[in-house]
Amino acid sequence: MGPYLAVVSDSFRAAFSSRILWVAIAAIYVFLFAVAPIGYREVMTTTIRWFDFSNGTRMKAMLAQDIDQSKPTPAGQIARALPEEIRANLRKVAEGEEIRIRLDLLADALTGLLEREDWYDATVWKNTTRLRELRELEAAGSTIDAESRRRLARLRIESALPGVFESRGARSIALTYAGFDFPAVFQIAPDQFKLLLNHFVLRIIIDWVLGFVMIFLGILVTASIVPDMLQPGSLHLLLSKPISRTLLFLAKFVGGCAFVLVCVTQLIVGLWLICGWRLDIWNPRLLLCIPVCVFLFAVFYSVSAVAGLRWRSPILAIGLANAFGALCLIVGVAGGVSDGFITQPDRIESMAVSGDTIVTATRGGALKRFEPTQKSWTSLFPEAPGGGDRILPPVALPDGRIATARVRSGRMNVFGSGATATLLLDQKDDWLPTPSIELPTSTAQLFTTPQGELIALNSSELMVADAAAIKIIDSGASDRSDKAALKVDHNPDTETTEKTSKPLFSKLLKMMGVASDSFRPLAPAQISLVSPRSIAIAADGNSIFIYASGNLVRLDRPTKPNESGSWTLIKSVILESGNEPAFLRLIGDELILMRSESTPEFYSLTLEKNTTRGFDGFDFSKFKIGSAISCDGFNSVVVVSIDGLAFLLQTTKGSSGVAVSPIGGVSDIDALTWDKGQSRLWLSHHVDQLAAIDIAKNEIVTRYSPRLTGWRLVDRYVVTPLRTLTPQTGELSETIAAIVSGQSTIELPMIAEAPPIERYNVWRPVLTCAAFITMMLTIGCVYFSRADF
Amino acid sequence: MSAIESVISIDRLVKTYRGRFLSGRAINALSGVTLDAFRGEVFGLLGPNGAGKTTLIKILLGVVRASSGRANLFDQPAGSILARRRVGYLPESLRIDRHHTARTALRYYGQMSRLSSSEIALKIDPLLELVGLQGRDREPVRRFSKGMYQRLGLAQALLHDPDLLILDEPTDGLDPVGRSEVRRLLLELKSRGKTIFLNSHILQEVELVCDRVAIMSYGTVRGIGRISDLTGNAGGREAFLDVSSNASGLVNPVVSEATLRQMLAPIFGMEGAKMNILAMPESFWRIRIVSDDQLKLDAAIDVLRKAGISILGLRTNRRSLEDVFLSLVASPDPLNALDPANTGDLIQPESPEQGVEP
Repeated sequence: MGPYLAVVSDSFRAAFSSRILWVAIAAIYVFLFAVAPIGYREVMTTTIRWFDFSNGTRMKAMLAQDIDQSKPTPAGQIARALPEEIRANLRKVAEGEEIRIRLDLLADALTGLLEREDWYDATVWKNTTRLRELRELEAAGSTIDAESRRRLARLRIESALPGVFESRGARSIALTYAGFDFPAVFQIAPDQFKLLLNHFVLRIIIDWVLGFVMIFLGILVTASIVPDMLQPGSLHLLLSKPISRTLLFLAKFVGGCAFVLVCVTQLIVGLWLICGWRLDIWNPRLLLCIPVCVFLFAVFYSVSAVAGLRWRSPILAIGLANAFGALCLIVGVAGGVSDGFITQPDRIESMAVSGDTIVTATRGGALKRFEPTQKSWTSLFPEAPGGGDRILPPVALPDGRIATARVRSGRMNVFGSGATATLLLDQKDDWLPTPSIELPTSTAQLFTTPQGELIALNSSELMVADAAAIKIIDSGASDRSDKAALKVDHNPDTETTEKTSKPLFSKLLKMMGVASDSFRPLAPAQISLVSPRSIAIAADGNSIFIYASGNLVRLDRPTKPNESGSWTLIKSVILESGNEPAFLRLIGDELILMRSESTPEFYSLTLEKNTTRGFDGFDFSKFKIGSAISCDGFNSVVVVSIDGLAFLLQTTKGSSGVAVSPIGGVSDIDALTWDKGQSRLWLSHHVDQLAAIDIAKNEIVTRYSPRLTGWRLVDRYVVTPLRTLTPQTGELSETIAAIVSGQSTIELPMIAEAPPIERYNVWRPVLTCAAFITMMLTIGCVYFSRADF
Repeated sequence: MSAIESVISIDRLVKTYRGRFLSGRAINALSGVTLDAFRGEVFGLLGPNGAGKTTLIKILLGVVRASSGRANLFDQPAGSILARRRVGYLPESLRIDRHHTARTALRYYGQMSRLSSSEIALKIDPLLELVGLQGRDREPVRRFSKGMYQRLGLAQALLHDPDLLILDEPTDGLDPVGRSEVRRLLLELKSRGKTIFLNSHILQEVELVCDRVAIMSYGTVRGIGRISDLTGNAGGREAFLDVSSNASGLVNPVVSEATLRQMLAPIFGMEGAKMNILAMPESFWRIRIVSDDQLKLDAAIDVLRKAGISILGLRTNRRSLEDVFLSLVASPDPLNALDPANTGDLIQPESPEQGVEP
């Protein structure tokens, strides 16, 4: 290998003799010196900002409701301490006027309260839910410093307005530059900061500085290497040496990558050191971006090298490499458009099975029913343009109907626009969705009980509607199909008159997230439902288990009707809190609490922890859960990893071990549901394909691959082959993000139990790029070894 | 075949450059070249531009593949790695990357010749001294003159102590002193048993250092052998005898062209030798005899003198390599040169021992 290593090392010398290299290195160090002063300091999370509110409407309603209450309430105390202008507006809200109060003004006003204590009255606050941090700060008394006092005040405000605030850590990161705070105060939680840095900031830097500028510069510098080698006086001398032409070409190619390696190494090592020294984020995975960036360069350089070999012109080599880059960009954009507007909208997010009918909600906001005979999906109502609607995960009611809802514009806004009616799908109506009772505002998830009740979980409340109330609202239309269309597309604005005529109190309650028509609060007021949260309903429907932000709660159906209608709090256990998604499910006669990257915990139905349970040979430390479901009569639980693989968890009576077995033959799983009737687990995978699993045998019993139509055909047979044949260099940024973050997915902000997940295409770009480089180098080697020079 | 080791062995080598797709036509660069170069000799390759010399060298180095025929170096196929291990090559227009110094370039090419670092380190300084680059070895080659490049090229060709040196215009760009040094170096290498395959346009230089030469034209070898053989076989030595029948210089009317031809025919024969007899304006006969046989010339003078014919003058004229070169490359018909029946002046390859020194 001596001669070939000599060629490679000579390329390094050539690179170092290049002026462009030194210009690039100088630019890199200017950039590194520019970002090096960025630092941070940890501060307590005190200042309230508009994005700290998870439910601004509820906050306004709570403040407005209590501002003039004679009986002192925490919300009333706060409302009365707000500036005069906001108080006036809140009073107008209380009087039923449609007043818009800007959230940032409210946030500033609340922040102003942090410096005062006149609004606080311990006796008024005594019934609020007090987190451990709040209790500890109050216990510390007057010994705490000014910052801690502000933190204490914020926690009191949060406890006074439950269901209003996003879950935030106690400490935040405040960015500094050369020791000075950023002009715009920028406080985020440490884990958010890490996520932001790893998933976005570093990715963008690497994408643009390395993926674009450095590669362009690299091509400029290295385009002449192969044509120079082919100069007669140089080539004939090289070829007269006892070396292989193929290896000579490959060595020149590897050597050509030296330029980018030199630059990329300095930049990434510099960034790594800055992240470590200045931000305390020592992320060795960042260094793995060096080979990825060189790999990306190799894709373009392979084009340049082969063009240089064929035409012996550096200019032509540069031109072709750039043209190829443009082609990759066009195909990448076409692929992105195809993903965004064709494939992803069809991806199934949730599903329900009733008898032989499978109903799914798609990411594009469509509700569809599968036609097994036609092998196709039928949309149950016209899809909204842009896919901005959110379909609540459909649930099967005990009587065979399926309940769901369409939250208009609910994809980006949890509250949606206008009122949301439950949609009932009944076989008698040919499964056409028919409006039913109105749902509480910002409902995120529906549950059913064996008694036929419908339970709605929104951002702050758990509410229940009796089975008798879940009925179709007859609009009077005679024709059934017209009726369905009319009902589904009914305009919420037409209901304004009706709504404004409702009692003021009812309206305020609705603003707070309580639907007073059919739904009544199920959880007592002191129960926190702050995310991450998960609900499990006992097999008999008489107990509900709630995990919310570190609290594990059991509620039982009241034996005697009480005034509020809420269920009885049986027990509450405080667990170690975490921000990761959690899934609480019933398995056998126990509860299993699964949190990502930690071993699931078992609790008895009386919330006693069972420490004897163990998982045989399965490591949960790196297992991230995307969804989970109890199945097989609550005898087992199926969990789906965020990578889209399913695993079956089974307990055996008399054994403390929990068997974990993968469910084979299905990958890229998005949604799952349990078909009680046929005892089948249904999985949706690969966008909109279905598979039914016999849990007992752990084998696939039915597979449905729907026929593709329209643009899906174009995607399958035009765009996908093009993307397969063209190296997806643009997608390598996802590989970089996955490497830097150490995660193959990114979880988007949570609305329901599990966060929506974007899976990175980690391997596709690597494989397509590797295949392309191999192909180009093979062409180059064959040409070089066979050509006369 | 000779017992002497054949270093370069070429047999009916053909190279046709194919025309581009749908355009151009095929070009026959070599049309059946056959030659051998033997161990320890300096072999010169001569020919006008386009004769096929460069193609032949490229085939020997493996840069170009032959269309048909055979070319071996050290009994290995030309272009094979085994063959190339024993070859040192100096291209005509040497190009060394600008970031090199003489020392780093020699280290680089030494590694390419599969020398170890220690071997390279041992050889660099003596070689630099040998080619006259000592003291300039750390300068970037971009500052080098053409002559310095050529010296560096020679050094890299010698670095791995090859058994065969293929030198393409080795003295190009060198000053007279440098040329003389190179010639001395070639002779020294020859004395060490190295074979040198020299391609040069400078015929004087070739005459000075080459044992044998091959003259190519139109892709064929028109002549090959020792230079003395080439110049002799291509026409031999011309002798001009100016004769008269009396001392006054007047032409004896008794003596005629036929008489003279009759007197000399037994010596030279009418077929074998070339003889012309011309009546000169100043009343004497000029006999032109083409022969390298001095005894026959002496015998002719004796015969003429016995017949009372005075020898007014005797002058010999030997042909130079340039004459031979020009006469051989002038033929436009390469096919004739290939056919042994029509070769005329074509000299078949032979070993140095078979050659006849003048």
